[in-house]
Amino acid sequence: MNRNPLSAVIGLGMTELRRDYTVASWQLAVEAIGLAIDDAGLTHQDIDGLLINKSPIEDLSALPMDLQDYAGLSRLNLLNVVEAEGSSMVQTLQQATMAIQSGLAKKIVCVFADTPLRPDISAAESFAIAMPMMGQTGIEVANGFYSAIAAYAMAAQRYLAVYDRTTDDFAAVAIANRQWAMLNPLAKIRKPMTLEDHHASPWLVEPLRMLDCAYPVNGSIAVVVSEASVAKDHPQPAAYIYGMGQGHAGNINRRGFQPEIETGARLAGETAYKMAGITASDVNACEFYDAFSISTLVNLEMYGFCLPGKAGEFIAENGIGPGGKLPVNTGGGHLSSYYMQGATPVSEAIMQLRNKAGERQLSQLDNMLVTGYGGRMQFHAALIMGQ
Amino acid sequence: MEYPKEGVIWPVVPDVAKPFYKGMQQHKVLIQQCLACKTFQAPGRITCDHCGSNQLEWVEAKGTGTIYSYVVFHRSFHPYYDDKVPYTVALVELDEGPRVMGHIETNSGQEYNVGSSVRACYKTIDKNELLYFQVTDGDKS
Repeated sequence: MNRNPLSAVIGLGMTELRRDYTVASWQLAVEAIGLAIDDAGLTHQDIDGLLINKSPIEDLSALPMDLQDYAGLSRLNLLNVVEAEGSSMVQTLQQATMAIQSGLAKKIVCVFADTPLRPDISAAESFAIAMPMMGQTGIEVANGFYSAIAAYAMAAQRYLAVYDRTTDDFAAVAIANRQWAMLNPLAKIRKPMTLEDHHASPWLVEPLRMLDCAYPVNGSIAVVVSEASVAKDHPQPAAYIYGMGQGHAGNINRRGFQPEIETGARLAGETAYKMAGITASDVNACEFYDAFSISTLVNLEMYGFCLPGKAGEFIAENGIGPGGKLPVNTGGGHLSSYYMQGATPVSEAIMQLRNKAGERQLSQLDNMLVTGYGGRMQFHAALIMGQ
Repeated sequence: MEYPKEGVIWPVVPDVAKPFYKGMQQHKVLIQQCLACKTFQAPGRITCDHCGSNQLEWVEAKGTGTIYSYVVFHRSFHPYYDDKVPYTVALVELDEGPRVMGHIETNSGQEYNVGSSVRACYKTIDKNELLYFQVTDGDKS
């Protein structure tokens, strides 16, 4: 395909992803930044931009602007903590690309780190936040409406009722993820999963079961984004960015609007496809942010692969697992590989685009759709990446 | 960041939502209406999400509506709820259009689903009145 990339990812650094606490998020971030810079064949002196993706469940002090100093970066033309909830990591790559296009900076590190598992608090407690469903009222707290799971369960129940589907659609997503995870040595849960396993999985917040939820880990992932023109001068094969988009459709909480299942991903996708000069039918594979199984169904619909309510049928007819016509979340996704928020789809896309995904390597990768969403699926960012 | 703390089950109410809470104390469901375009708004807004006007007034809703969606907590995320699971929390679409959140309770184990009819009721939590919804499907009117 003859086209001009907007930027290129030339470095990837990942700490060990662990189910126990070792060091603070900023320390993990420093390690990942160093690994990414080495991977790109650069030194700290070459880095002129740092974009930080702090986890929404951590305080600003967990990953502050001072990360610059902790990581030994003293020649920055660009420094920012990008706060767009779960869409932040994809947004850091977008901001890096914009900075490169404008000439503001040339070699930009984007980093995410999180430590939801701590000595004194479980991952479940870390994510037991009360997510606003009703706007600025705090009524969620008074109703015991705790946990991100609850917000996604609300979307899931609406989805099932409006489209007359069953939770087996959620199972189809979880099982495909697991099949990919079984091919990924980095994935945390790799034992086979059947439909019966999904049925037997306990409800957490019905209609979502434990097997519908992301698998949290502690760790950090960093990338180096560069001008595309010099990407070939670096040791690793480049993962190019060809298009990008965002979509934030708001939470209009009244009759006629269904923000839970008709999301801004549609706008993010349309913008990214247009910029890359493609349509959804040109996408070879998707790396979605998929903290809950329901969101992959909604993403398949909003990013234009099938009509609303038809994702279950789309999966059954086409396949999204290994050997499927549209590979989705090829490392196992958030459900079975590792929940590093937006860094999970970004890292898997880079490994695939470098042809270094081992047993799960895809063959044709002209266009990968790489996405992030945040909040209760209301903030969306998308990249079109390719080889 | 907002972690549930033991013993704290009532939010710090933002100023913009105080009329809604005051309404609950008086067993009224208060929503807002745009003076410019008349669109009813979910409580706690300062801008109309249809026309952008900032002229909103509080009005009393009838207190009846249908279940837009709901979830059943099988796991407690707060000590207060440890002995209350499973419990159901819904978004209820009021007849006027806006959606509000509340627990769903039934008189005699009626079945309910998305679309079921409900009406506003109130229960006391500590010193506060909290809106919840009773399923009215199958009730004689």
